[in-house]
Amino acid sequence: MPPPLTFNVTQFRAALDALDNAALGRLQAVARLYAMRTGGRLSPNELLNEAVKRSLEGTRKWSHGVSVEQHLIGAIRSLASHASGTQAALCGPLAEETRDDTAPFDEEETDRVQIDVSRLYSYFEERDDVDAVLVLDELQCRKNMGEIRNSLTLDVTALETIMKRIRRTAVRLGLSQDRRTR
Amino acid sequence: MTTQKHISARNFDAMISALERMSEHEIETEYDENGENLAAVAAETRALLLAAVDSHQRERLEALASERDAQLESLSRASVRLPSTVADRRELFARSLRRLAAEGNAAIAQFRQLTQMSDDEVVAALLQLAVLGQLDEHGEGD
Repeated sequence: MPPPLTFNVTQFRAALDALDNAALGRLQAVARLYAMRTGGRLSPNELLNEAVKRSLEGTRKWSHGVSVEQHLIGAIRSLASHASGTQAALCGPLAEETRDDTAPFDEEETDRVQIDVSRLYSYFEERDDVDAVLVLDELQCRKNMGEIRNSLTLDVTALETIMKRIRRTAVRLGLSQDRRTR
Repeated sequence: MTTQKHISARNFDAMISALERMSEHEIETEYDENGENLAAVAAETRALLLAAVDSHQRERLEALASERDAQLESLSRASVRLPSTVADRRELFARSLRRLAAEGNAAIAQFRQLTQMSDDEVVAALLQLAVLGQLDEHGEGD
């Protein structure tokens, strides 16, 4: 496991300030999706804010060889995972945890936890987007991409197009969720 | 009324991981399709991240200032009965330092030239030692 990076507040601030538009756009989109994953318990802004705070407090270790963007995504994922999958998150404030960027994910938890996508369903149902609803149905049955293609007789490009549509909508809904919580 | 619909976190995460690998052009297209402008989103996100750093730093500085104030207040409230004569105060000071030295505390090197310290400095140093619980009031250092 690589050792954690040693940095001060000024260096961390400079690293964030140096992020380009693409990295910042990815971070924002990821935060919106993970906010949806928390079922509204945390907004995208809260996730971004908390990821920075934990990095500076040292409860989220920044590993050597990991970009600041990837480090923050890891922190956001970890926060969202806690908020969506643990009793602690349901009953009170986020559990304090010390992790680093190379800590493996809890595969069992990822399998067990279910994400509420009712808002996505409603959005596509209201627009009669049958393809998107069917893909969401398949996802709900825990099928992977290959199984969904076979089941709906879609080619790779067609499924990717639908998945993009679903993802973009989720990013947009994630944004509106954040505006509601401000 | 919409019934609750769920997908596994694994499938949801797969959707997110596709985003993490997107090029600038792809992510720009994603935002365009949503009627948003990447540059504006990026500027807002940068401001939020930097504000989080500044807020953290401000909180830390406030905590440190508050800690320092508490220490100063504690120092100013400390009531210590010091010997009434200069000679006795210097003797108490020297004895306390000898005890510290005997305990292996090397931080007292600056007091080697005790005779060069003013009487006021001796009183200030005694007060500090008293707060630290290091006054040898009962002559145990001899």
